[in-house]
Amino acid sequence: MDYFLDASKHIQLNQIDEESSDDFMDLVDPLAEPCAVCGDKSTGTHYGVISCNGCKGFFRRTVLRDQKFTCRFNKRCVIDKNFRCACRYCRFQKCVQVGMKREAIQFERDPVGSPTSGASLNGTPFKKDRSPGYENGNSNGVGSNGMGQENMRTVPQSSSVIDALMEMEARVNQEMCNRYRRSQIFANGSGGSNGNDTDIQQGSDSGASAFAPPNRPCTTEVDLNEISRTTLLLMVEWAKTINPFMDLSMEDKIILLKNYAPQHLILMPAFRSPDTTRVCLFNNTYMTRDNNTDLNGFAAFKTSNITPRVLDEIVWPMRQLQMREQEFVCLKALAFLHPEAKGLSNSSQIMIRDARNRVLKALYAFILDQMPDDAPTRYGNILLLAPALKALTQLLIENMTLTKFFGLAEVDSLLSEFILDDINDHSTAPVSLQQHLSSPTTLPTNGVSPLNPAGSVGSVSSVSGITPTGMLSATLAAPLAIHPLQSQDSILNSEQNNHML
Amino acid sequence: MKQERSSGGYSGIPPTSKCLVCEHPDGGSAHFGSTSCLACAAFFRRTVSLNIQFQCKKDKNCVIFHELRMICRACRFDKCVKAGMRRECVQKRRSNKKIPKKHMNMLREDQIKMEYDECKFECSGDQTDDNSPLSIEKKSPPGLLPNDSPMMADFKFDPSDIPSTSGGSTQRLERSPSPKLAESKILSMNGEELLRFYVDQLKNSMDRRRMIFTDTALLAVIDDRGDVPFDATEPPPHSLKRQYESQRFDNLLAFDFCKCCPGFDFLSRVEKAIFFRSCSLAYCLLDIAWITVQAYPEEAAEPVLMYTDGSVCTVNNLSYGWDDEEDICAHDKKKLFLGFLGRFNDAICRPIRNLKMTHVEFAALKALCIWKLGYCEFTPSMKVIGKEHEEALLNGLHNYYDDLYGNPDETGMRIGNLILLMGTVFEMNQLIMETYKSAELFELFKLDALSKSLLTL
Repeated sequence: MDYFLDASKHIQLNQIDEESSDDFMDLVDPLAEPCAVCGDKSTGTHYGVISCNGCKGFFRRTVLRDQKFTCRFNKRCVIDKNFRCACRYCRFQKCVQVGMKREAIQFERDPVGSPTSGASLNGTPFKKDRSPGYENGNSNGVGSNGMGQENMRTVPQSSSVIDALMEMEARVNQEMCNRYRRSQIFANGSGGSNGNDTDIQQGSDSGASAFAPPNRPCTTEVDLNEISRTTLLLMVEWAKTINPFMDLSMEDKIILLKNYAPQHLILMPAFRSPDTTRVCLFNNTYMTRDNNTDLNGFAAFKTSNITPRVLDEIVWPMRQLQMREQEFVCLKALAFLHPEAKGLSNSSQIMIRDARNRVLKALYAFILDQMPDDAPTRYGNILLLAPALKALTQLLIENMTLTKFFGLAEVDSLLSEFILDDINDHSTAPVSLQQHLSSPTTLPTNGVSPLNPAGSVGSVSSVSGITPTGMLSATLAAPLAIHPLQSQDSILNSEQNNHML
Repeated sequence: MKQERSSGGYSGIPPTSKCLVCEHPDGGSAHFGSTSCLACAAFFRRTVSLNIQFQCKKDKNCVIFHELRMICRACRFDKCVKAGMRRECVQKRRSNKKIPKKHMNMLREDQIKMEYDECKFECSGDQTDDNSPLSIEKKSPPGLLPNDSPMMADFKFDPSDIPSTSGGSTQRLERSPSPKLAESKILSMNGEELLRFYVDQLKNSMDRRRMIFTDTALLAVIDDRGDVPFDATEPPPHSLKRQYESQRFDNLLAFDFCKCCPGFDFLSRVEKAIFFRSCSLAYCLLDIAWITVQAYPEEAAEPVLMYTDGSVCTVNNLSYGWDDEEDICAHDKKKLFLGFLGRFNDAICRPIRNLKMTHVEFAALKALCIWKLGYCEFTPSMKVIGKEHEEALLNGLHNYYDDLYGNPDETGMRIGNLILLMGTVFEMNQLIMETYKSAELFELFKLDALSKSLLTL
């Protein structure tokens, strides 16, 4: 459609002649600048950028259909008039880079695949477009509109389950985004960087989860410790919103959280990783397959072996399936609701099993509605991530146990509470874990409340005994591949068995 | 077009170029890095995306003209390449629905291979896009002359896009190389057939156990039963000596299964050993859960485990079974096995009872565990075979549930519970491996040679 937006930069000198709408030349200012994306002749300003019809339509289709592209080369393809169709990933990145805004797309007026092409010849669209309408740039409105479109296509029963999970996911991501944006401002030493971050942000399903691309490798244990603590604390807040969780007893709550915590530490970075070359963490750092040299000697052993397995067994299937966020939040809930966790009471098992069945039905109905042909294999492949996640969790626990037992490195006390099994099963539950479970949720519904900084300080202060030096975070710990320590591994296992007896 | 030319403001635009491939005077526009008409561009795109290799019947010097361009496709493709068209500019095929049948099998094999060759680059999935690049190109103005095209220095040539080079008399399609023939055998079995294979294996193993361990061996010959052969009334107590015998027989059953499993004969030596270890764990561990649940459908006040030879022990206190023996005393056995047995009963036997799992479902669970358990140690080719098995099993299960229930909610719930139970099975495998490593390290009891080999694998 040749809808020309009213751009102050280019005032139309020629009046639109409806009878000769096919006359291409009279509609465009001869002095117009070329397309900012591909250099072709532009047809005006579209979505905030001078662009041609090809790039305008390409951007709109990509956003409306929520398409995800991948670059077959190294993401530096040349986008010009001749080669703009060769790589859709780089073309979309360039559209965003030169400033095209997804909020400027008017969902109700620009449907993809209009029923009749003759409709554009009517006088009515031109009349509407001439008058400058109020452009609603509110991203929340656009987000809800898009979500509304998607919800109309799902079964009402299942959409309520997935919507609740999605809402909570957006809140947790918002909180994470706020914390790290604030730390980035302090790191850059100026408030202007916040604006820069906003501009750099790329489009994604929910605006709250938009981050700047990871800009530096994960170099210190402090990075790992920091990200692990924040992730685990937000996980507790997330768990409180899962339906039967608050009805359980304190012991059962702790059992579920302990069972899920290492899986959470693996799942969250995996979903954010765009490809299988690196794992992106939430503080905008990343870990590559051979991330050995930067971390200190011992920490390198802990993390170097598990990262390739996370990339191969979790990240790679996620990218291949092009997992949606709705499917991801369901997978998280299914990993959390584990009725066979060790030590759960019978009544809790029944409640958790019912909740899990509800999530399974909702996920299956969602996939059946989105792509009915591939539903059996897609549903099965998504769920098969859960056993792989469990296997990686065993490795994580094993390595943290080894580290703590031999005193090779000091383990963060919060991580120890969440992940390691207590040797004395009959001792009282960890104190700070009980505190977190008892306190009400600190995630506000609308943005950041004024009380939130105090809440954050409270959360941080409750984690006592944490010192930056000598900390080892086993966020992505791996089994030891060194032969001399193999016997220690066996001894440790036997010691564990002796303690269990 | 005429009005465009008449406007004086665009005197800098070059006139319409002719196609550099078939020399059609009116059709030149930018395609794949060169100037060509729509017909030659579509021909080039089809050839690249379907990975077709043409051969010239004459001397590779045929005349390509717009009236004669379909006479020799090999020379037409060569002329496209000479005119500057690039293979990497062709996007991947977005939908497999319109591929002719003769190209389908070849393309599927290529896709499987490419997915793992390009492991570092993400493969784009099938995305439906009604507006093909052709319709976008139609709106473009005439392209520049080829010498004005910018250089594509940043493009890396993707070697997986090279068509397979092999001699053959076929002009259009080449025969697949022998490694791909191996994979096409697996693909020839659909989901229901593969699920039936696994169910037959389960029944076969139960009949063999009836022959060896029960007094009703003749029933396995007369009837085609395939059910659990053991009786819950007055079973013998379990002992370590009996465990040696039953485990050895389970490994024999696993060996038989390996030999007739589709895809096993394509594995290398190390791959076969890894696969056998997964099968051995499935036959020694999962079958215990299945036999226990079948023999004791309701969980008693004192829960009991029945092993694969029909012997029994109580779970909570080992009061029945695990008596004193020459090799190991009862106290040591309690230390080693009590925790594991309780956890095994709670985590695996109880969910199977709650689900009221059928033998078809159990066979599918066992198969998925076999192919998923050692996944991290699989080689890429083994992963391809495992992936085919998983997808076929999922489709087979889906059809089974559709016939049985016809309700999507029930189907999704049962498949989900089955797959999520695998996580617990993995946990149990980890636990039993640690127990055996401890036993070997401290020489608490003697392990046979096969168990030692599997542990050190």
